[in-house]
Amino acid sequence: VETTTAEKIEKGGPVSRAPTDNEFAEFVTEVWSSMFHTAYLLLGDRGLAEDLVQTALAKTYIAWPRLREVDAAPAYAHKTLVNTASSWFRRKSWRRELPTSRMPETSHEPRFENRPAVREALRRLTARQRAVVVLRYFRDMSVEDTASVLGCSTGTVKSQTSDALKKMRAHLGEATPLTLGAAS
Amino acid sequence: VNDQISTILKDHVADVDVPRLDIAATLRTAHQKRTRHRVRRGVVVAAMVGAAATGIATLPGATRTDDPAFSAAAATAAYRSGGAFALGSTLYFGNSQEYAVDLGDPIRTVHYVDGGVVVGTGKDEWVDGDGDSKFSLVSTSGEIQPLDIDNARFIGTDIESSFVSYPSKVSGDTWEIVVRDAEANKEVARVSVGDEFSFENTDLPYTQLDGDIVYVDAIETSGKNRMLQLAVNWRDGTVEPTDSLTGEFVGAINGGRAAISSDFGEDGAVRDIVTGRDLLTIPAPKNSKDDGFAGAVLSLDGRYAVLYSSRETKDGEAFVTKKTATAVEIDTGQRATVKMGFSWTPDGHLLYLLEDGIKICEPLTGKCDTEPLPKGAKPKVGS
Repeated sequence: VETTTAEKIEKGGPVSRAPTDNEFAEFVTEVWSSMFHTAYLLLGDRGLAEDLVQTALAKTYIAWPRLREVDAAPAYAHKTLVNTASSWFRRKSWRRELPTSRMPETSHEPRFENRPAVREALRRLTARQRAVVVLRYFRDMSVEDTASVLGCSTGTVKSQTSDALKKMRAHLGEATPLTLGAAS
Repeated sequence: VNDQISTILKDHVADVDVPRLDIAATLRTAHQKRTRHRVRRGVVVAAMVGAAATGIATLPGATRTDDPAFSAAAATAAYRSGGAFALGSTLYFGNSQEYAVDLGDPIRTVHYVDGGVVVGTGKDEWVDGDGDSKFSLVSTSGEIQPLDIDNARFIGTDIESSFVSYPSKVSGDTWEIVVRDAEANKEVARVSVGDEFSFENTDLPYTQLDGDIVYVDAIETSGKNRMLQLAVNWRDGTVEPTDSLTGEFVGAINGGRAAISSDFGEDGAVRDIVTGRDLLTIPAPKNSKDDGFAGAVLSLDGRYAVLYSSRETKDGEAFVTKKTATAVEIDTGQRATVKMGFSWTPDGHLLYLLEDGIKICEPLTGKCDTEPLPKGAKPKVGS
């Protein structure tokens, strides 16, 4: 039976020790950029994204002894990041924390014309839909791995993907010259 | 369309400046979180091991007994059947206010030994404070014997003897394991655990005493760097990993049996340490997405196990233990539902300190006897 990435990293096993500082520093350096980008897509805010990554890295550090193998750490860290973001979304205060009409990062103006539209398109998605889209189309994860990370069925991933793409197509179709065509 | 979405998202973040990585800050955050996490989880397990397995029942609400004179024989009998508990600075043997000893300072920990209890007193809480506890043996004759134990917050005891175990730091990550006869206040063994093992996962190695063996949480520094339980034979000075417990998250060890907590969804077990055979399964919490776990507290002779489960709070800042648990007689498999918040008595009963009395229960039948609290005592149960 083929096991998914998420299953592999949850089995626990022979690592069974905390990482040395050098090991963890090497790991953080490797995943920092990718995790930050994932977090940014999920949250739409640089400051919150950085906080999210730091939180997920600290949780990964704690969980390190339970990883089946050190190679599983990046996947575990990303999974933790997505789940932590989900728990943030569930907070009652989250709506107040979300940036609204303007993003605070004026020094990081978008290079591409479609960037505000993409950000807005992502914001229009539900938290679950946004996670599905980011995992599948930014992290290039399979339906099965996405389902494992989010703790839902593959059917849910597919339906959420479909709904998310419809919303994104509708919004981006209006705001950008891109032709997205029919949802697959 | 999938490729287009993928391209759009990747383009979208391609020119977002990634914040400078401050590795030192990241490591500091990780270390702090790990320390808090281990302390929290350690508190839960140690509290289960301590409060239930070795007889801690300390609650605020000081009362003093001005006339502590009592018969040692009667106090010993009361202690066997009713255990011991502390309210404020006063220690009580048995479920009665007749056998009380005032220590003067707030009592933080109570550990059963043969012929009495070893108490830890101090201003700070026993696991949270920076200060170290002062330990004393209170015998069932009412005599108080201060013990020369320095720099220890956790001690191991065995109700079949008057010995206690604790770690003593040599330097850096190098420790010695000390065994002291509390009755004579005399050190009887000091064993170096060498350089093959590390204790970097803890500020203070946690020891458990079971007969001639002191079990110590450690990490192997060679090979696979696994978590393990060192078996320190204090009589002959040998030190070796306990094969049957290597890589496990171990709670209580009593009567040659160890309670292994579930870890990350995998079941725990009550295991015979010598044979390595699992005597009982401790089911992991089902569908738990948090870091909750299940464990067991063993009676002092290892005859009974009470299986409990804990879940992590939504904010990830604490563990919450379910209020009910399952008591199991390990050799027969007989089970019953019991309430948590108990201590074991020396003879295998459950001791509850309630707001309105002291209750002693038989774990399988649920039959209980309740006695009133000492006069004036108002424990804040559950605080």
